Amino acid sequence: MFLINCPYCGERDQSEFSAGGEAHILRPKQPTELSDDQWAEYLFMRKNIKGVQFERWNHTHGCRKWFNMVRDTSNDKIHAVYKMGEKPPVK
Amino acid sequence: MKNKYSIFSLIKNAFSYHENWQRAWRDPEPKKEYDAIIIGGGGHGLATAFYLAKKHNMTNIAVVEKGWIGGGNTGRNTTIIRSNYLWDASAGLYDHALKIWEGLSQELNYNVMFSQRGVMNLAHNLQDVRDLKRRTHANRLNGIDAVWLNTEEVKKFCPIINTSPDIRYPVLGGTLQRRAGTARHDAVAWGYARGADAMGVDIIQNCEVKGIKRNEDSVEGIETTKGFIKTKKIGVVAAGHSSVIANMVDLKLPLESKPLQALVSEPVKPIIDTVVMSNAVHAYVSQSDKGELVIGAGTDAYVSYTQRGSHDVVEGTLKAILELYPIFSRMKMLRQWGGIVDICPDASPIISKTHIKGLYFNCGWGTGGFKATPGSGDLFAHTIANDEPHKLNANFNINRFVSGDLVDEHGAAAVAH
Amino acid sequence: MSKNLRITNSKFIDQTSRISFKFDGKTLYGFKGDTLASALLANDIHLVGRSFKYHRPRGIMACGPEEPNAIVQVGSDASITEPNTRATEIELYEGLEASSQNCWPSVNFDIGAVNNFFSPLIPAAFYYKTFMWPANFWKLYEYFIRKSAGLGKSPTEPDKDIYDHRYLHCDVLVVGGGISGIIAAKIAAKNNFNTLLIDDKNILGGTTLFQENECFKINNSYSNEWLKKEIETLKSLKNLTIKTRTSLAAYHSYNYLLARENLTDHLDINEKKDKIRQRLWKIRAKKVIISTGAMERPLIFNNNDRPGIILSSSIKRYIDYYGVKCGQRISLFTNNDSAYEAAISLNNSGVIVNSVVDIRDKTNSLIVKQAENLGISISCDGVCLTLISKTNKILEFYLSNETLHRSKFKKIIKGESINLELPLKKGQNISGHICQGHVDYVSKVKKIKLIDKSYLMEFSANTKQKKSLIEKASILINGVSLTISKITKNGFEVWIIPHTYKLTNLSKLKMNSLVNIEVDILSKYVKKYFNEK
Ligand SMILES: Cc1cc2nc3c(=O)[nH]c(=O)nc-3n(C[C@H](O)[C@H](O)[C@H](O)COP(=O)(O)OP(=O)(O)OC[C@H]3O[C@@H](n4cnc5c(N)ncnc54)[C@H](O)[C@@H]3O)c2cc1C
Ligand SMILES: [Zn+2]
Repeated sequence: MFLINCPYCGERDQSEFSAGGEAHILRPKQPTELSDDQWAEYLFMRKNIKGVQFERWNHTHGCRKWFNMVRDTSNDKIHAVYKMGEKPPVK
Repeated sequence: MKNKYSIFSLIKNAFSYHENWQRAWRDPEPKKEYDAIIIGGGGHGLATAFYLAKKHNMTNIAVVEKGWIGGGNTGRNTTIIRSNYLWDASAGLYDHALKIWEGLSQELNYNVMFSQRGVMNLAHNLQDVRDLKRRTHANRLNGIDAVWLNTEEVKKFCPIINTSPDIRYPVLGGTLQRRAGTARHDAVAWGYARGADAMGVDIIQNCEVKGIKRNEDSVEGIETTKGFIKTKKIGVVAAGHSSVIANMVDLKLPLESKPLQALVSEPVKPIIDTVVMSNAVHAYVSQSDKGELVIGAGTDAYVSYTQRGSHDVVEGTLKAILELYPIFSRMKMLRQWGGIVDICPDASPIISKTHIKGLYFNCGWGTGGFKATPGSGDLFAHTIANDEPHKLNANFNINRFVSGDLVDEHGAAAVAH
Repeated sequence: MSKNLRITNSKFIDQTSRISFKFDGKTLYGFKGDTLASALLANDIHLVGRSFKYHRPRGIMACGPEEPNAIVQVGSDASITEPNTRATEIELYEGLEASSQNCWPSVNFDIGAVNNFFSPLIPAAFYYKTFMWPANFWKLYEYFIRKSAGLGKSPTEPDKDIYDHRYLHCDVLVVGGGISGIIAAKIAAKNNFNTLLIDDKNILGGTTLFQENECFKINNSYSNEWLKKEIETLKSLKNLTIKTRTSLAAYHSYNYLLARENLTDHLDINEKKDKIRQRLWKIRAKKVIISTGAMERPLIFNNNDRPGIILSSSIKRYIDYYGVKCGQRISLFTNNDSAYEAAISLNNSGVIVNSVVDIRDKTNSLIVKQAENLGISISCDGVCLTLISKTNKILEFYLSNETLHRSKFKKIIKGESINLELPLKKGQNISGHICQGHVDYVSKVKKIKLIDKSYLMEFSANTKQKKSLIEKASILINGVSLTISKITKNGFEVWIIPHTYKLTNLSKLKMNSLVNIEVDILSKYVKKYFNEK
C-alpha cells in the first residue's frame, strides 16, 4: 500500500488514487495521417518496464488532479512525483 | 514412461519407504544446442514442450526456467477452468483446452485432479443479465454447454449464496457451465514436466534468460545465467515477464503486467461444492480438495513486478464475499499472495509468430490462462513446429492490434476467470 | 481417570473465580486468566484433536500463537461457531464451548486413525500418482477425499457479531510488549514520538512477567518486579497508546500494517452482546519496531508430535503463569539452557523432573549449576548417533543402512555442516536415559541377517505385546537401547549397527536365543492413556 505524495495535497494513502498507466505518450497531432502500425503503436504498445517507469496517477478521492510519478516497478519504490507539463525530475 | 504411477506402484514403493521412486524429471545441464528452446517453465511452457515432443517429434528441445517450474502464475492461480467465452475464436480456443483437460490425467499418467463441479457466473444488475444471456446463447451456438439460471435456480445450485433482494448487489440470476471446474495447479506443471522429460526434453531450472542473440532477422540462441545456448527456434512463454523478454529484441508488446492476488482460508469440511464467480463485485470462491476456500481478488491498476498487490483490492473482494456468503464471516484467511499477470487490451491472449524468424510468443493470458494450459501448449507447439499457426489460434496473432481484428473478451474474462 | 494438575501459587490466575466450560460436551472448570489450553491441561486433558491426514493424536504443544496442534472448534451455535482456533489463544470465559476437530465418532476413538495405519501407502502427494483408473471414477474418489479433508466446520448461518475498522497514524509502532518492546516504546514516547505499542496477549510483559530467577536480575531487582515498575511508567506516558489483545496480521509496503484487536472474545457469553467483537486497525507508521521475541523451535525426533510432548518454554509458562503442571513426572530434552529454567520452575512447584537430557557437552552456565544444586538429574552429551571415534576435530559416526534410509544423511556431501539435532531422530540415547530397568517380557530371536555390515534382527512378540510397540520408537533389548524399524507379523525388527554389535552381548545372539525386552516408556504412557479413556 503506497504512500503517495500528491504534488497538490501532500502524502496520502494509495486508496485515494487511481493509476493511469504509462506517461508521456503523446496523442498524434494528425491521427488520419498515421499508418496502421503507427496507430497500433500509439494505442496499444507499451514499454511495460521492469525497472524505473514514468506513469500517470490521478488523486481521485482528493484534489482530482492528474500528475506524474517516477516509480521502480521491480520494487514499487516511488522516486519522484511531478505536475503535468513539468519536466521529469530524474532521467 | 519407465515408472508408471498407479496404486500398485504406490504399494510397491511403500516397502522401500518411498525412497526408490524414480525422479519425476531429470536435472540436466544445458546442451550446447537445441532444435528449439522454450523460455518459461510454467504450465504453458511445459505443455508446449510436451506436445512438441509428443506430436511433432521434436525431442531435442529444452525448457529454460529462471526459478523452479510452476513457481509463476501456474502455482499462484485459483485454477478455474471453463470455456464459456463470447466470440467464436475464443470458444474454439478454450473449448479445445477443456476437451484435453477431460482426459489429461490419463494422458499424463498423473492425476491433475480435474474436477468438473461446474462454474457459475452471477449477474447483479440488468446489464449483467443481458451480457450473460447473450453469452449463454453464443456459447450454445458454439456447442459449449451453458445454461441460464434464475435467482431461485442459483440458490438451489449453491444454497449458501445470499440471494435476498435487499443486499447491495442482489443476485438476479447467473449462467452455469457444468463441464467447467478446477484442477490441481502444481500437478499440471509436474505432470507435463514428467511427461516431457520422459520423451527426452531437458528441463533446466534456475536458469534465467538474460538476452536473445539474433542475426539480422532470425534468432541464433539465448544468453542465460548458465551460459549461451544455441537454437534456431525460441518460444517465449514467460507470462508477466513477456515484455522483459520482448525488450531484449527491441520488440514492444501490447501488454501491461499487473499484480493479481488470491487468498485461501484455513481448511474446513465441505461447504461449497462448486465454483461461483461474480465479475461485477470482483469476487469468486471455490473450495479446494484440501478444504480451503480459494478466493480470487482483482488486479491492481498499476504495472508492478513485485508479486504483491495492495490491501484495498483484497479488502474489496472480501467485502463482496461476505455480502454474498455471510456465513464465511468467521473463517480465517491462511495465506495471501500475488502473481504478475500480462494483460492484453482486448483481454485475449497472443499465440503468435513475430517479425523475427524463429521467435514465437505465447502471452497475454492475463488473469485467466490456467484454464487454457493444455490447449495453449498444443497450439503453440503446432505454431513452432510448422512455423504457421493452427487454425484455432490464427486469430490470436500479434498483428490483430494493427489490423484491428481484436477479440474483445472483457465480458467473459473481466478479472474473474 | 483424570488428575488435577493445578498448583496454587500463580499470581496471574484468579483462583477465587471459577469458570465452567465445555470441551467435547463434558463440563469442566478453570479459572479467570486461563486459556482453554491451560484449563484443559489442568484437567489432565492432553488429547484434543486429530491431525489432518493420518489422524494422529494431537495435543497441546505450545502456549501461544505458535501452537500447531491444539486447534479446536469454538462454539456450537451455527452462526457463531468458529473453526480452527488455537486453544492456546482462547481466553477462558463462562459458557465457552469447544470441541475437537477432524475425528469421528470421538477424539479418543477416531475411525479416521486407520489412515495412520495406511500411512506407508499415502505418502506426501500420493494422490497425484493414483485415483486415475477407471477414468470416470475420479468424481467418486474425490467425493471421499473432500469429505476427509478439512479440519473444523464452517458456520452455516450469518454471523451476528459486529465488526469495526479504524485508521491510525503514528511515528513509531512497537509490535510486542516484552522487555525490549517496553523499553523501545518508553524511549520513543519520551522523545516526543507519537507511539503505539501493541501486544497479542491480554497483559504486557511477555515472558519476563513470570521470570523470577536469580540469574535474570535487571538492575539488581528481580526482572518481574523491575518490569512492573516499567509498565507503571509506560502507562503514565502521554505520547503512548497501548493496545493489548491486538495482534499484527500484515505488513504491507510503505509501513502500512494491519492489526486485529480482540474486544469481546474473552468476555462471558452474556457480556458480549451488542458489543463490537473485533476491530481491524489500519496503521500507517513512520517507523516500525518488531520486538516479538523468539519462539522455541521443537527438537526433531520420532513421534515428537504426540500429545504430552510440550515445548519446554511452554511448560515453564504453564507452571509459572497459569499454575498448571503439564504432568506428574516430566523429562526434559534440550540443546540449550532454556529447558533448565523450566526444570527449576517445575522443581520449585514440587513436580518431579526425571532428568534433563542435554545434547551438549557440559556447560558452565549458571542456570545449569542452579539446576544441579537442586538435585535435578542431568545427562549431557546426549548425541544420538553412535560415535565411533573422536580424533582432533573429527567425529566419526557410523550410520546404518536404515539411518541412511530414514534421514537426510544419505544426501549429505563432504564438508557440509550438520546440525547435531538431526540425529535425535533415532532417539537412542534418550531412551537409554528413560530406561528404568524393569523387564517387560522375554522374546526369542527369530531372524538374523547381515546387510551391509549392520545386522537386521527380528524378535518375537505376541499381539498383546505388540500393542505397546511403535515403529521408530525405542526399545531396550538386553538393556541395549535400539530403535524398532518395523513391526512384523510375529514381532518386530531392529537394526544393529556394527559398533553396537561389537560392544554388546547382542553379538552372542543366535536363532531362538532369549532376550529381555523393555518397551519404550513413552509407548507405555500412550497405551495407559488410551486404556484410561
Ligand atoms: C492470483 C491469480 C489467479 C488466477 N486465477 C486463474 C483462474 O482461476 N483461472 C485461470 O484460467 N487462470 C487464472 N490465472 C491466470 C493463470 O495463472 C495464468 O494465465 C497461467 O498460469 C499462465 O501460465 P504460464 O505458464 O504462461 O505462466 P507462468 O506460470 O507464470 O510461467 C512463466 C514462467 O516464466 C519464467 N520466466 C520469466 N522470465 C524468465 C526468464 N527471463 N528466463 C527464464 N524463465 C523466465 C517464470 O519464472 C515463470 O515460471 C490467475 C493468475 C493469478 C496470478
Ligand atoms: Zn491531490
